[in-house]
Amino acid sequence: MIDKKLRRLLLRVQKPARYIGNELGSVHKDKSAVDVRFAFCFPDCYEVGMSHLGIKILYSLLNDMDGVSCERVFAPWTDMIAEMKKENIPLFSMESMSPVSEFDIVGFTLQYEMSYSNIVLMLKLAGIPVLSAERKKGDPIICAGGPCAYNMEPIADFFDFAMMGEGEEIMGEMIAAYREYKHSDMTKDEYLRRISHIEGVYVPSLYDVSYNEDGTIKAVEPKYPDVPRTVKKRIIDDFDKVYTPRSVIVPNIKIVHDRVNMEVFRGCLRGCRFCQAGMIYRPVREKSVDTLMGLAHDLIAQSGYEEISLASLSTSDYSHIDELLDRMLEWSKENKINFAIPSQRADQFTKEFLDKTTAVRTSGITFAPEAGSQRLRDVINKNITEEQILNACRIALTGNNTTIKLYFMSGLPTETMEDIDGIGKLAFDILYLGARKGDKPKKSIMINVSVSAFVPKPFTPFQWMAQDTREKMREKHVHLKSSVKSRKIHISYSDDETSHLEAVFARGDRRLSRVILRAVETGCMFDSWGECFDFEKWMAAFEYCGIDPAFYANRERDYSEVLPWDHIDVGVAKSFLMRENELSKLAKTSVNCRDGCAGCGIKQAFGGEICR
Amino acid sequence: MPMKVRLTFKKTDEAVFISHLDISRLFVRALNRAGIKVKYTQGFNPHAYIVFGVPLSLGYESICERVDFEVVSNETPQEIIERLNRAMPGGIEITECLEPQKKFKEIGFARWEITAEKDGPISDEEIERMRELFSSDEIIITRETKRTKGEVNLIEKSRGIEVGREGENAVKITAALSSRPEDVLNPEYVVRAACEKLGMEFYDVFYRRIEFFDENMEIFR
Repeated sequence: MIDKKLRRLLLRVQKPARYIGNELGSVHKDKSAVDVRFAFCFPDCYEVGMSHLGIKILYSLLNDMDGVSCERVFAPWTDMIAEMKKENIPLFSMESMSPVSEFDIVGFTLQYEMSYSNIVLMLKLAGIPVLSAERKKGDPIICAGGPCAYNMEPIADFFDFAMMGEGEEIMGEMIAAYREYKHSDMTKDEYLRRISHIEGVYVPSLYDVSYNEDGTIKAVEPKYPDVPRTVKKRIIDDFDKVYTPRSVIVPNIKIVHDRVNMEVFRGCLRGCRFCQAGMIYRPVREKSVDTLMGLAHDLIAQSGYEEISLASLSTSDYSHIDELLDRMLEWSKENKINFAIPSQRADQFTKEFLDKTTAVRTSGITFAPEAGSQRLRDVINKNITEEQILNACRIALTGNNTTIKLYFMSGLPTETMEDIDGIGKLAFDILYLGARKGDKPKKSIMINVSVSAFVPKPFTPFQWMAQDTREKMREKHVHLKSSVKSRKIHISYSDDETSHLEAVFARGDRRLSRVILRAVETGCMFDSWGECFDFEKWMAAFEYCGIDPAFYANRERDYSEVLPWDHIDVGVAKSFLMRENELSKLAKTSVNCRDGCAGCGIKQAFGGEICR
Repeated sequence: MPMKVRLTFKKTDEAVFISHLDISRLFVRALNRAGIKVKYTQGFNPHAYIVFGVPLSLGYESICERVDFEVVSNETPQEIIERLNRAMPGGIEITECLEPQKKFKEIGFARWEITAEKDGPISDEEIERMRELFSSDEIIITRETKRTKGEVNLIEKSRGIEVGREGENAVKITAALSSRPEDVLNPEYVVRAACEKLGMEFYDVFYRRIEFFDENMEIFR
């Protein structure tokens, strides 16, 4: 399968195993035995893409369908790109090493805004026309899914359609519609029109966007009466019974999340006002403990991994968490399996919880206070008190653990320098916890404070708010750093340039497609990688296109403004987001889905029984 | 009864692109999948206690890799081979499962098969000149490692280098080279010697490790 030319080339690049596949669990279907070939593209390198849960689910789902094959494609690293260009090798898939341009459907998963340049890059490497309008019948159909698809306007010109919501639901219908198109004389326009009737399918080219003189959007209008005015996301009703793969691909090289990833529930019952995932994945739907135990057992036995991550947006919120942990513990001790819980809420962290999760192997402990003062935590509806944070850290430090990692955001709406001071103060209070002579004095503890810049996201209560300018971000960084002078507290920041661009694309509109095209033409790629990111090139691309990034990132919107994503319905009502935004200005919290109903609208959108 | 075993395995085809570090992770997972229980280290982060012989460079093939561990479940050597092979990705194949005879530090030499291919036909004269070169008493080459740079005598660090034709364009060199833990000689120095001393140029070179020996050139087991 690997010819001499490719072999020679692979020996010249770093980590060649990224490109050859054939890992245990990968599926190799005979291409002549299927009529729909789907290339699942992740616009980042192998180690990042293979760590993503969605790709594993959809890969298995598609390959389990008769007549359909799904192969993986990742963005080749920069050294490989250079070699491929030199040798005239187009972008190829992992499984059959076929050129991506041979596939029927090429699907990109949109996980973060900073991967947009890589989409264009990959289409170019594949030799596929980048713009939807330039692709004819016979060219691959290019589609998208994933969280960024909910506002895919900045990349709308590249895609034929996007799938809103949960892929497990929509894939079958999408494939059936494609078959009809492929095996008939239906034109591409007719096909796109046809699939726009599938609930959850968004065909950007079927909408006209007009603008006001001030640059804001005037209206987004469907071009034809049969094209839906709003596109509503699809969801799975019964998450316990939903298709879940019993086997995974086991990479031969170390990837970012090198473990079994098991999704415990989808959605989040908190309503943190900055958090897009907490809104777009609503409502909360859980798997049962029995289902999870069976799944954990199968996945560990098949993969040989010794670690399993209980994944969700907030795993300690699982309604049967105690039972799950007890049963996991019993099973994992016997089998030397470590189970990890990626995010722990400080208000639910107990000694028992700590003991259970570190019984087989110890691991670091991370809390996310998000903001330094109680006022600001109330603004964002975090619903955690300082006492709860301190208490959780006190417990965390009773084990063998000497390091605590804390996540904060800076630039949140209403933030002042006093709130920034609060971050340092909280870190010192935790350090002091460790230093105090108590039952078990600590030799040395380290506190890692990670501060990321707030990026306002669509479909959140803060979607109208302005992001701090880069100058303001840096001013706050300097302020925090100068106020914390301990070698035991380590502070790291997200890069202000990346955060700025992320904010531009998160709430961008269709006019940004040109900027992305230009940026890629001038060499931008792998923007989420510090060593590749070139902010100057991006700024030059904005200037070239006559577009001011501050219009998107640093401008507060009026409630009456038409937002680029208003024609997409994620089930959470805009009126709810406004209400929440107003409450935030008063630093008033609202209730979580378990304690009451804040009336987000998801019940009305998907039926009353959906929230448990 | 716990049983110490030494496996011999092949690393060929696409597996040549898997690095040494990744191979050891891969073995742990394969043992888990195969349901073979091995001895673990103690402590806060227990991990399977498995030890590999001499690392193999990325891109090189081998049919004689060795790895040691202690089996605490009750499989026979034949069962270990069969079950592990079912649990391995493409390119890794276990061929032998024996009780270790010697320690890894007693490895003295490794025999390599080097196939060096030219852009066009290779002449009999060129092959003859290579034979002459490798049958001399001294070939001084400059060896660079991460820490040191120095001159060594290639012949002193080898036990026999043979040259033969391999098709129209290539030559096959079989060489037993020092593989002592503190002094592992990369086979690419053999090719480099031919290039430097004879002015030859090769288009493509394949390296394959075929056997380990002790100081006395007895097969290492």
